[in-house]
Formats: sequence, structure tokens, C-alpha cells
Amino acid sequence: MQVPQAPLFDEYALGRAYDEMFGALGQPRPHYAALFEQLGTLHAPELQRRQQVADRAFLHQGITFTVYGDSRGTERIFPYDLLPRIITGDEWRQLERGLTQRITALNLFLRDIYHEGRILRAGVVPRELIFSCPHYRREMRGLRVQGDRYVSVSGTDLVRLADGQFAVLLANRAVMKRTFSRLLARYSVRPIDHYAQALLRTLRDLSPQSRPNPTVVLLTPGVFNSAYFEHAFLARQMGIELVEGRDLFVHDNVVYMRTTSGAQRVDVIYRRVDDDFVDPLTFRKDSQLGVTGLFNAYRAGNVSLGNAIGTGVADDKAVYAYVPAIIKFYLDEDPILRNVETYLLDDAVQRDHVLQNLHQLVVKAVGESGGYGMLIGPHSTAEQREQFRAAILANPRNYIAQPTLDLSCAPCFIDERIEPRHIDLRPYILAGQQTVIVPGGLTRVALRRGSLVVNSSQGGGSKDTWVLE
Amino acid sequence: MLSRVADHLYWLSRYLERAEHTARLLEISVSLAADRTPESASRQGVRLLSALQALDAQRAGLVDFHLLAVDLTVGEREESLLKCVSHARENARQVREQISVDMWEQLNRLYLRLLAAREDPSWQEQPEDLFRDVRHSVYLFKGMTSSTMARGEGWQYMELARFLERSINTSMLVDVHLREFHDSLRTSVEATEYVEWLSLLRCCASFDAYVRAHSASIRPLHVVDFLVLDALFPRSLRFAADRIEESLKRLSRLSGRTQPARVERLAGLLRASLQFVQIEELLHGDLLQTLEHVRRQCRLIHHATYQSYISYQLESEIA
Repeated sequence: MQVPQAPLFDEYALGRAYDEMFGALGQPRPHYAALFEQLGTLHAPELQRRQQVADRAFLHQGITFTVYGDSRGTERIFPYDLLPRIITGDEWRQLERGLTQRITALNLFLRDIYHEGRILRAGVVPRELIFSCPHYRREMRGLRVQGDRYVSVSGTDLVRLADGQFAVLLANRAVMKRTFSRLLARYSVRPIDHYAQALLRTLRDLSPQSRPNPTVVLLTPGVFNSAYFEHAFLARQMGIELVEGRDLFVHDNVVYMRTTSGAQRVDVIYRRVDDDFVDPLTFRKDSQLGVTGLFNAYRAGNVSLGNAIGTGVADDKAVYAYVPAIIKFYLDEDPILRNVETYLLDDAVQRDHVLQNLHQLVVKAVGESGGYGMLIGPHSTAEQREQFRAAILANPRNYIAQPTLDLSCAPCFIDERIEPRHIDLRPYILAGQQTVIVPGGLTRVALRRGSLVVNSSQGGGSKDTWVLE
Repeated sequence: MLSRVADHLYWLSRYLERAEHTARLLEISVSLAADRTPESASRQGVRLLSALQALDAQRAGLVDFHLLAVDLTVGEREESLLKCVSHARENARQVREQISVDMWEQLNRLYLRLLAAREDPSWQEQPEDLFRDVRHSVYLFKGMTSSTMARGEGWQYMELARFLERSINTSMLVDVHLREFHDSLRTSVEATEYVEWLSLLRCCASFDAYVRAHSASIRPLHVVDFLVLDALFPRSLRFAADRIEESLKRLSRLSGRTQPARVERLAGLLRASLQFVQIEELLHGDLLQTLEHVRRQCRLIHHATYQSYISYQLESEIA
């Protein structure tokens, strides 16, 4: 199928995957028509020029990450694509309902598994699955979490490396305003600038009840963390202190920060440090990033953490398979968002099926992220499949398998022309007294032709996402 | 304000002040070096290093001025412009959320400019251009700081740092100059030395201001008087001492602290020692000792500030 004639689209081929811009007959979808029209009037050099202007803006703003193992400390800008991804208002509202339902159910689930364990007793989710999850924290058993909001912020992932993604999202929008100012005016795109305000409200909601005017801080691992730019950005937008572990200390189960005016009490910590590292007294002894005694202060209810400790269970890829059942169990509703079919490999029948069909499936390690520990069957070599077969047999609980998805494609500006690339979407969800979902989220792009891996550590990039009114 | 943040803002400001000073010294030395004999240029190189407190034993011999200038610009040594600006930027990076976007971008641009100079030696054909650009970048940064930053604690730490650094730099520069040209203080200026006194003024960005205060006749006594004791010129030691004392007073008020008496006493002593003295009295005593005294006081003020606000004992804080 051919797309309409336009100089930049010479090499644009429609494949099996759903294309965001073009319908099956090659005509641009209505909400992409204006973008297509605009691109039709542009030539490669002009687009190239805009790309350079945008690159410079990123570089000068220092929206960069340090390349590890480079002694000269080379800093690169986050890879991104110039063309926006567009989502209609209807699609978005559906997504919003589904995400709200999901986060509500997951918070009930987390409360349950750390208290009564009703869902385990009912046999809906197997006990072994929860207790064998490395992110399950026994220390959290019976501990009351403020407002029962275990996960307050998701999307900006606490457990995995976030790679500065949220900041990239906002920076993308700022650059895009300059790059496609007239086009942006033709669409009515929902703004995303209020994120910081909503995040601060969500965090304040977590404050211990006795503290009406809470001091909120953002705890970062520090300047060498790849997401540091994002931490600094959010702290500045919210007007709160950006602290490192060494700025905080605990006295009589109360957390303080060291300020020029002396010790100041801290009530809510938006922590961007993993569970393992938050408190060397309770978790990893060798942590240099945490605060000694923080967990005891947390137990005593003198400080709140966003997110709570032990929420990684909800991110476990094997638990993912049970999300529809979890939603049904707590909310008695059908899931609005479809779950990708997931095979659990400690079940012998499913495991056999998967091992026979490795060349067609995607296998993922449950605790890994960033596109590591992943086998994409159709793109794998026999040798890689053998490695995974051995690994699965050695530790089946550590893996899941899913059918290879044809991620949808969207047009990207690559090497002086526009070509389709696979994309996904990573929305940002704030669960406070109300649930807020950022209209946009981050669209990640697999910039290598044919690749399905969108993680920025593996050749992925980002795109601005426009949600229409 | 977090103590760590105060620490970073303080060093951000100090390193930039140092970069500005070094750039100005290089700019003026390079333009003079062209007219000098190799031997005289080498002596100038040694003076430059002494003024930057960068003279080490093996450097004390003959110095190739051109190589030295490159080394002090993009070299690996701690005193180089690239190092100063990198350190300033590292400190700024730790407090990104405290400074305005404009400030960060400006500093980042300066850093990238020097990084490019390290890779591409073409700037060495017109080195003054690079030095002037660095100087102007720092001015621009200070202007942005001045017009975008609230006059809270952060601002006061940056002010304090800037004037402490400036006092040490100026006093060191005058010190080195006097050691070489001490005799001309009492006699009239020889034609050859005229250039040296003129360049001393220019190294302190004070030629125009001096001329307005003392007319165009360059008299060594007046020059030293102006650089050490002038009450109104922002690069004199006296002026800096006033600002240091003022910043410390404001810091104690802003932080609501009562115990920093020691640091305020030190600043008061420094200010008084420069406020109530006349240049003739300094000449009768030992001028070099006075300059050394200024530097010592500055170091003491630095340590006392850290003890009061930044690296204090935690035990004393929680009653």
C-alpha cells in the first residue's frame, strides 16, 4: 500500500503494524491530516535546520546524560524525534479511565498483600508468586501507609531507571512549541505544564495528619544518576528542596535536613532512590545514598514516602498477568485496558508451550527493566534462544513470555527523510486524593529500523505526544 | 536553605570570579607579551603564575609564555580557565533547581566554548578574543544572576564568595607586582615601568575608574592607594571588605542564627583595618604584610562561615 506523494515520504512503507498516521488504504488519518499537510510543504534541508535548532536547545539547556565509561565526561542529548505523536481526545479519555481503574485496584492490592492477604486466601493470586517476588518487603507487613496510597506516582518509575524521561517530556514540548509553532496552533493540544503543581498536591496529600503544613522534599541519588536532570527540574518546578541522603538525618525517629538555619523537620519525601538503598540500617548495608534510620521514622508514622516501600511487587511482570483478576477482585469491574497475554513459566504446561515456541515469543526477566534481560524471539539467534532456554529452566519464576506485539508505527524524521518506526506510550499517573493523568505521557521510539526496543539505553528515543481536546 | 546548597552556590561563585580574574590577566599579559623580549616575557609569565598562586618549583625557570597561556586556558592544571569553569558548572549542576534557567544556560555555553577551544587550537591565533569572550560571559552570568535571583541566602553566599575570592586575587596580584617594582613607589615612574603600572590597573579592570579619580597621571602610590583603600571602586580591597561584612550580617539575619558572632567579628576586623588606615601609614609599615593579613583574614572568614552555617556539629543543633 502506498502513501500519498510527498517529497519527504518517498521511502515510507506501510507494514503489518498499525500506522499512527496512515489508514490501511494509505490515506492520512483525520487527526494527522494537518501534520501531513505541513510536512508536505517542507523539504529535508528545512526540517534538518529545525532539527539542529532543537538539538542546540537541548544541549544548551543541558538536557543531557553522561556517557558512562567516558573519562572525558562526554554529555549527549537524549535521542528524540522531531515529529509529534497525536492522540485524539476520545482515545485519551478511554485510556484515562483504564489507567485510573488500574491504579486504584493496584493500591488496594498492595494494601491487601501487606495486611490481611484476602486475595491470597481466595486463591486469586498464588501466595508463592508474591512471597517469591524480590520486591516484596516483609518489613512492610502491617504497617499503615498514609491514605493507603502505596503508589502515588507511577510512570516516572521509582524501581527502574527513569532516564530523565519526564523532564524530556516537558522539554520536548518546549522545543516543539518553537519548531512547529504554527502547526501547534492549528491543533488544540492539551497542555502539560501543570504537572508539577499536581505532583506537589499529590505529595502533600501524603503528609502525616498531625502536620498540616508539611515540608516536602525530593530525595535524589545525586548528580551522577542518569535521571538527575529530571529530579532537579521537578524540584525547581515544585519549589521544594532537592536533597541527597547526606542532607538528611534521623533523630528520635524524626527526619531532619541540615540547613543553614539549623536542623529542619521533613514530613514527606518524594524519593527517587530504590527501596534497597533508602536506609542502610534496614535494607542494603552498603548504601551510600540513603538515610540511616529512615525506615524506623517511617514505621513510627513521622514521615511519609512517595512511593511507599515495597510497591515493586505491582511492577513484577509475573504479577502483571494477574492484573485483570486483581481489578475484578477488588472493584468487581471488567478491565478497561486489555492486558497482553502473559505466560507464567513456573507453570509446567505454560512453560512447555513457551519453550517450544521461543522463536515466536518475547521473553522478559520479571525484575529487569530498560530492555535488558529480554529475548525477542523472531529477531533472535539459535544461540540466544539456547541461553534463554537454560536460564528459564534454571529459574522459571524469573521469566515471563508474551506474544511478539506489533507495536504501532509512527512517522519519524531519520536521515533526511521520513520513515516509520515502532513506538509505545508511557503515561504518567498521580494518585492522590484524586487521580491525575498527564495528558501526553512519553512516547518512546525504537529509532533503529525494525527494532521493537524503545528503551533509551538501547537505541530508543522519545517523541512529544499531543493529546487533542 | 540546605547547607549543601549554600556550599555549592558559594563555590560556583568563587570559581567564576577566579575564571574572570584569570581571563583578564591572560588577556592583558598576552597583549603585552608581543612587545617583550623572550626573557622579559618569561619574567612576566612567572609573575602571572605567582599572582595566580600557581608557581611550582619546576616552573620557576625560564617560561615559554605562549605555552603557558595555552596551559592556563585549556590545560589540565587546576588554575586553567577550563578547570575553573568546569568546577563552577559542576557546582551549578548540583543546584540546578536553585538557579535560573538563564544562568545555567549561560554557564553551560561558556563551558562548551572552552571545551571546543581545547579541541580546536585555532583560537590561539587571536587569543585575546577568547579571553575577552570568557570575561564577557562571566559578566553576563553575573548580570543575569543580579536580575533574576532573589536577594535571599543564596544570593548572599554568592556575594560573600565573590568578594572573598576577589580580595585574595587582588591582594596577591598587588603583592607580586610590588615585589618586582617596589622601588618606583617612592620615585617617579620610568618609561618602561609605566607600562607595568598601567597593566596592573588594567588587570584589576580599574584603569578608567582610576583616571577619573586621579587623572591620567599614573603614580604608583596612587595606584596602590586606589586598589587597596578606595571606598567606592568595586575591585578595591576596602570595598570588598565592606561587602563581605555586609553579606555576613545579612546571612545571620536571614538564617535566624544568633551564634555566628565569631565570623562577624573577623569580618569587622578586616573592614576596620582597611577603613581607618591611610596609604602613607601602610608605606611606613610593611605593605606586603598588610596584603598578607588581608588574605589570612579572608581564609579565616571562609572557615568560620563554614563552621557556623554549613559544616556545623549536628549534636549542638538538637536540644
